[in-house]
Amino acid sequence: MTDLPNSGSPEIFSRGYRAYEGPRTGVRSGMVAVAVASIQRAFGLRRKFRFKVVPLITIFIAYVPGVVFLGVAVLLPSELASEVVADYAVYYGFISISMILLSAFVVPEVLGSDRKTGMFGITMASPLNRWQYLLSKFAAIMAVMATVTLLPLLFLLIGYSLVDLGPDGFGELIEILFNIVVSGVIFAAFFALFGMAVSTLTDRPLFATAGVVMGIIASEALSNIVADSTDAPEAIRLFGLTRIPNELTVRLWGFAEDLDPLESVSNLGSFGAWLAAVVLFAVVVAVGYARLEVTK
Amino acid sequence: MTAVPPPPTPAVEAAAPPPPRPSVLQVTNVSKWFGDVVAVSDVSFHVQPGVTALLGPNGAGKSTLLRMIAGLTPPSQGTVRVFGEDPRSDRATRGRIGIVPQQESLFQEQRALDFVTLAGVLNGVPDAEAQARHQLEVVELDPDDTRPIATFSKGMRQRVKFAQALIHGPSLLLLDEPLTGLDPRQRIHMTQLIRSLGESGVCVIVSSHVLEEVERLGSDVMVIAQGRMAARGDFHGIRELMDDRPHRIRIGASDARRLGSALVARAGITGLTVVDDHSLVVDTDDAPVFRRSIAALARDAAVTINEVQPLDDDLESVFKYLVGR
Repeated sequence: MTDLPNSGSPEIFSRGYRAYEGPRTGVRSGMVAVAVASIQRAFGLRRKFRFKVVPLITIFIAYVPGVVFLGVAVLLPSELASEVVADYAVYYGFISISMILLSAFVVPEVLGSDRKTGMFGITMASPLNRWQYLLSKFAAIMAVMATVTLLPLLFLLIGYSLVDLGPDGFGELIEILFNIVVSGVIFAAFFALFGMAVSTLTDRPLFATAGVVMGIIASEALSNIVADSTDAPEAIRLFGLTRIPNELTVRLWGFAEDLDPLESVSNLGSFGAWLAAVVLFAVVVAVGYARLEVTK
Repeated sequence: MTAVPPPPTPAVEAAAPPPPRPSVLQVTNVSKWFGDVVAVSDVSFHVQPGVTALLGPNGAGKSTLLRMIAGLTPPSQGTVRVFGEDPRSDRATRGRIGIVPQQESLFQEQRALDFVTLAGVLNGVPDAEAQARHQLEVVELDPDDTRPIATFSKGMRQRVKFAQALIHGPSLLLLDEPLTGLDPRQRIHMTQLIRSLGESGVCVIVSSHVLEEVERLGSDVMVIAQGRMAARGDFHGIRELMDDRPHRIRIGASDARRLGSALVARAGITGLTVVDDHSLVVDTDDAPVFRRSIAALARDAAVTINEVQPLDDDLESVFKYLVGR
């Protein structure tokens, strides 16, 4: 009889399936994962070129005017350049166009495609709930929008400073930085939530795109027609969707050439209009997702 | 002789019955309707670890039932409890559920590894990428395959979904038509994997409308038809319970006509067809008695029996009877 070399009790270690009962990384990492995947999707990363076209156009629209203005500032004498280059507030005209494109084409892709493909169901089967999911999506969209609301203005600030068109002193620098950040949030939150609200109403990104574009065009046209052709108060123009963030931003910056805020609307009224719109959009998203049945 | 009194019976403590195993899943009077359409109607059942097949024709309500179990959609009426908790409100419970949905679109542009890793992160798996690699290998996919999922075959996509459902080591696995699109070899592999998961103590619920799939996965079935639970249990047992349906049995014999003559006079025989000289098919409404008596009957008739083969004791027959197709 041969003694076993090890006199300890024999043991069998099953290597079969074991349900995982160990520690988990928590909901936050899941939310970050949803946000990162959404940002990748928004920029068309790891996707075919056609998915990168709209993000590239929005970036082009948001950054190229800034490059041009800086070029002009470099080439012209500073006295003449200061007359030609755009004020920060005026620059939000370009940013508005980028925002509309992102809201119409990118937000529906980020939000609606999950429902269309069944990815929403996969996510809801995880420990994330729909509010955490929506928060992740909102954060991702805000991050994407920040690339056209914040970065071009920061780029402009740095460029203007280098050619002596920048702020006079530290105090003005802080003020401009504050305005850039707040204006960026005003635009990004407005267009992000508007796009999300429309995308909540349909599973098809294409329909949402059409809805965003039609909503903006119709609201602008109708509010202007009513304001111009009737005795309605001037504040009616605030029903134009792009007017709301632009109006508030102009007031934040104090003044801007060629931009005239509505005289009959107070600063508080302008902020109230923006807040009401943002809350309305958020409610549409929240109610829509609260009632959403996962059917895929 | 003095009668010896019997020894006093030692006091024996009554052995306590083993505590009942807690159900992994308890569905109680669950209904689900979408407007006027009733998808699931007053369904109740409980499920223990192991493989349970949810069988029903397309549109029977299988996927809706699975979505309610996963907490993806609330029941219109009734309760669903997974490990005693409501999967809709209990986050930890959802983390113990894995689901393979029927849809294949998902994140088509992603690599399989990225998609499965994302599922792992969503479920809080530490080192999700390593786990994703492992699970992709389990389902026989290459973790380093750089192609997007959109370029995969249907069977490969199905296996990607399977890997994402397994990555967080679920205790309850919900598989909605998991073998669709797999080639025969993959089908065998996946069937073995599902069975081994069940044998390892995972509660696996597999929905399918393909009878052969279900038959290979095990005999514990729940038959759902038009949103209602039509039957539950071992399908042979279900068949035995269906008294109103005669059992059909084929008999191979040395002289089928003589055996037929002997059989036709017996009670319980409701039909008889002589197929050829050595084969006949008998309909009986009392299969157990028939099986017990056929040997003696054949001996008395001097006929040798070569084969006794039930023709409608399989799942397909049970399914046809229950679903009415």
